[in-house]
Amino acid sequence: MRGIRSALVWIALLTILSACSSPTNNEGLDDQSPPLECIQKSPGGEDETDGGVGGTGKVPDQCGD
Amino acid sequence: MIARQKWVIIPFVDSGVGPLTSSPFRKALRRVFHPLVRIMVSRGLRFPDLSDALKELYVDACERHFQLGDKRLTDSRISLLTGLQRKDVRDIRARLAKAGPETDREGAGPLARVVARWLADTAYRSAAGAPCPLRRAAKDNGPSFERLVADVSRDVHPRTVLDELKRQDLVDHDGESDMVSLRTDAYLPSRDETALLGYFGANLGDHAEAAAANLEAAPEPGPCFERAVHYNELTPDALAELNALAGRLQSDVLAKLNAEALALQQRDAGADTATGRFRCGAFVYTLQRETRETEE
Repeated sequence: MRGIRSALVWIALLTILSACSSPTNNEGLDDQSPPLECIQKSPGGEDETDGGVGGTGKVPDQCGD
Repeated sequence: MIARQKWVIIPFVDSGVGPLTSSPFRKALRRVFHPLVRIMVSRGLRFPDLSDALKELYVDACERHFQLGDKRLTDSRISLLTGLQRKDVRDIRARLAKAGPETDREGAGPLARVVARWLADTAYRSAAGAPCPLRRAAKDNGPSFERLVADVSRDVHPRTVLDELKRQDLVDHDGESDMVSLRTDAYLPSRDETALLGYFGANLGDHAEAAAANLEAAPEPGPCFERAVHYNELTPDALAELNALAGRLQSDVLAKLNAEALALQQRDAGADTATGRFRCGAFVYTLQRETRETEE
């Protein structure tokens, strides 16, 4: 009985350790973050700061378009 | 919050009736409206729809800018100023009040900010000022695409941003080396209808705001910088040369302003007085006529 309990404890510990050490590419970012469209299109939404350079047209080519 | 003007002096009143060519003001409006009407027709916005929208805008403009001190703005006064029926004014005001105040926020979203930061932040651009190709995910704490996105917003996943930038053809992602390169010198969302129309409205709208503020200030000089270089009788070769020169010079100005604005925004982040917004735009328009004719 004690052997089974000890084995269960070890399995739990190993599970926790492997979860903590598994590589992630997200650097602390939440994988469940909302899709981009929700953030871009929500008026006055969470994306408070604004900034950028953009518009509807490209730089003309050297020889004209 | 919208600043309300308490008293408005109207130095030039266009009280005439008739076509949009009967006064200099109407001629100017005709020129402004012409491309707008063309795009409205091409996008299926019919005149009755525009007419309803314009009625709302007239009432809204009166409420924002034509209050008489602390006196309540009456339906009669709005009707007098706009020429709308009092019943229409009452209905529109009730509708606007029910809808609540419209937000003034005009953010272009995280994609615009990611591109702008990539172009301007020294952590992500070369000594020559060009945006560096970035590793998608850095093993150490070095510059990477994921760090760039995280610098801009923690509310959106880097993979989502990358997929969307790829869809819009604004970045290249080399699957083998896992490097991401920026393909543009500005956020040009031609494949994102919402973002494209956002810039159409915001850039054109602010340009119109600047020019309108200058007209309102007349005969005093206007408060906003607004000017253009314009010449006719130019050959196709001359147009191409000017087009290319203007593109180079204006891109340079916008790149410098982008870097400076980002640095100032970061410097003053969180300050109580950091509530202003800035937009400086540039455009080039050329037209080659078939025959020599007088400009309208």
